[in-house]
Amino acid sequence: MLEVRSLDVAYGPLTILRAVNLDVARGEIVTVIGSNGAGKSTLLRAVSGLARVVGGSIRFDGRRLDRLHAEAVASLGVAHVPQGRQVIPDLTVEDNLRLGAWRLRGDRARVARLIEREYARFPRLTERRTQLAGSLSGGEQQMLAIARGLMMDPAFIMMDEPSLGLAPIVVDGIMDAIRGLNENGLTVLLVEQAAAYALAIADRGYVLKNGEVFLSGPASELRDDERVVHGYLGG
Amino acid sequence: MVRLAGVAVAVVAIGVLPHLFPTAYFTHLFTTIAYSTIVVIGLNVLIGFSGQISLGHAGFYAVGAYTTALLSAQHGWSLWLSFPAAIVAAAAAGFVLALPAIRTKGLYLAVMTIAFGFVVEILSQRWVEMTGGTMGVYGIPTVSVPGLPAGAVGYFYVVAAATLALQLVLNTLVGSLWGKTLVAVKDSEQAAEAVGIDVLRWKVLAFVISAGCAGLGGAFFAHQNGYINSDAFTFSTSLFFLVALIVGGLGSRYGPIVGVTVLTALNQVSAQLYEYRFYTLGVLLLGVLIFMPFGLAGGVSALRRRLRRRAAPAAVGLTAGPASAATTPVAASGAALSVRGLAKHFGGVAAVDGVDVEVRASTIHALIGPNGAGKTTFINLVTGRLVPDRGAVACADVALDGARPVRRARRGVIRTFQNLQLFSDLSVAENIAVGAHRHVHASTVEFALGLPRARRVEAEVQRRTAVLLDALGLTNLAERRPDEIAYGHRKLVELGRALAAEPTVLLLDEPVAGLNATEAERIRELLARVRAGGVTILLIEHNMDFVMKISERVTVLNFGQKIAEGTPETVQRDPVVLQAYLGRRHGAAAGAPTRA
Repeated sequence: MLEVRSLDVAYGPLTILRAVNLDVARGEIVTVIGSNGAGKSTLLRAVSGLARVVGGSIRFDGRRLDRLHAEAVASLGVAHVPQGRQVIPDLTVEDNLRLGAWRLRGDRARVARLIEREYARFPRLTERRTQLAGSLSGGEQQMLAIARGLMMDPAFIMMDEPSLGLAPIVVDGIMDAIRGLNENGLTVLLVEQAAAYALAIADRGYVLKNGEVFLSGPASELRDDERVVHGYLGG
Repeated sequence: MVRLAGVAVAVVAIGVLPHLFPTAYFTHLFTTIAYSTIVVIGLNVLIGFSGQISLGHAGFYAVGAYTTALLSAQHGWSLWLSFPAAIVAAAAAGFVLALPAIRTKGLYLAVMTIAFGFVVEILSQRWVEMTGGTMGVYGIPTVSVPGLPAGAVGYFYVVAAATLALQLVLNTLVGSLWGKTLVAVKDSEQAAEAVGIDVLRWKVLAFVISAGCAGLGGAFFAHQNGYINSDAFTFSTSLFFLVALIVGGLGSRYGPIVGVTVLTALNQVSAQLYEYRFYTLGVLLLGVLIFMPFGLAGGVSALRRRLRRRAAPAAVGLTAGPASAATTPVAASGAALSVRGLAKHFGGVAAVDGVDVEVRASTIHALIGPNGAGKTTFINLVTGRLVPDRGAVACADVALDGARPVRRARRGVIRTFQNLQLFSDLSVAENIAVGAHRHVHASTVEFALGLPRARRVEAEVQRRTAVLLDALGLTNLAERRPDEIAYGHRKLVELGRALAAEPTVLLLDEPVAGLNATEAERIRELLARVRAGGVTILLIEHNMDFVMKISERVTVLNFGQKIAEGTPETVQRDPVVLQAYLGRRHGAAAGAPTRA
């Protein structure tokens, strides 16, 4: 579904990613782990058209993404839940969710169904539906950011540290939710610091180190691989 | 040396300019550029560095001009007295305007300063007995300095020397910790207050300095022709200063001189097209904003920054290395932080609902609980960001109730922000250095003149910053801006800034969220050393591995109420906590989560 080939990304003179190859097949959960500054978020930003690609290619269902603008990428059904929440503070919870469904704006019934689906997933948001997003606690904003990404009803979703700032019990809930979504056909690319969580639900994993793919393989192997523990933790 | 060479070049340039262009017209033009630059340098302090806008700077300019004009022409004051009087009068006007103005921001502040500009403009037109109105003030004495050529050329030398001196003072000032502090106030008032910067005082100070500069510029204007009238102090004069600054480059050291020169030259070229001059100004402004958003001088310095960076190695990842925390031990016993019956409601929702917490000195105490349980609100109440409905907060037996956030920070109650509040226009190292603000005891004058005490403070802060950068593994990223580094590293900068303040009580809002296990372990070791140095730490965190390893005591909040408290072991086994927060998987058997 997603094919990244010898991808180079640089911010000005700084090279962030070097010759990265990565594949996500339809129906998979693939995780990218690595220490801070390894380039994980930049990889997601490159796919969604937010970081400038210097070399290599990104294909989604065979279409080149690396020359497209962010809004064009999103309209192909690629959802990106960015790091650090970035909810719109002066809109209500419900309006933030509606905005997530911008792509589907003609289909009111479907949007209403999607909203109810997300409220069912995050009951906390139901309680807060008329509150301004800026007044939510940090963790609640994280839930909202994830729900907003899912409002697009995407075929493929990229999540950048969904566990950030969430209570353990909620993280469990989110990981269960990701797995549930995946079982219903959603393809997931997951960036996580909590490697143990990510490898527990992923099919395959990539370990980034200093902007390059250091290791990759089935999640079950990576989980037990001594080199992962050292390569990743020592990064 | 580079700096001395620059000054020498400037002096020579000033010396030869009137000889290169030996006509009265050019001398007049250069003098105008020089004193206008003085005004715009002041405006740059206000807008470029402190982030407050003024659309009424012609008002301060007028106050300066009329003060020296009237005192010297009608009351026979010596220019040695009337010039300082002009500066003081304009600065005083700045102070009076700043007092109400600093409570507003953005558009409101812009409107207030426009109003001020109009009030002064109307007064200068209509208060004829005082200002002479459109007829103006005549017979303003000219300046003659022994040893300099008489007349316009000599006057140009005087004004240019003053401009050069002011440029040098401001270069020193904005390059110092003082300048970084002002930028910090612009970038995040919350974070500035949290490290003990008195935001209101700094904003007023910027206004006063800026108005004083405008007054000096106005005074030089008044003595240029020996005659002034109200036509010179209209809204379009304010606009000229503002556009010159934007074209030259907001917040750029040489933006003012570049902008004023370009704009004045343009005005001369388009003098024949007088009716179109707003049109040409508009086109220039748009062009600069589109093609060089940081202005002409700003664009050049951004380019230089990029080129310098290319030379430096692009380092990524954490460096390992010896780390030592710089903290001052405090002699405290019993509770370092004591909170009684704290409560805060938002609308009908009780965010914090009667919470008691005692944090013993030199311990690490964790505050955990579900999302939205009121943990961050608790920190906001303790630091004074929010005013509680009920309850009392004391730090080492001193009541903090009613104290402004900045007062509490000065007492050593220092926090970090969960939704990062870094100073986006400062480098990583500068962000941390500004954190040491409450230990910086040197005045604006000392910083402006680069006096020994300011230099010593600066060196000491830099030394401590280097130690902290090393301890946090950020040395390789020291020169980067916060938006150029990874999220987890930004988190570390927040922590570093708080540690630079050498807190008595340190309140951390999710210090290791976004860090991997190695990075979290490093922070755990660092915090353990900080605690051993006598600092008391209260932290909010969802990483249970980290919480259980690091803390002596744990308080659990849910729906704003304390539902459990005790040692990590007891809390971890508490059935209420398991159900509300931890979930079965993270209970007594903490560690890496496993899945069937």
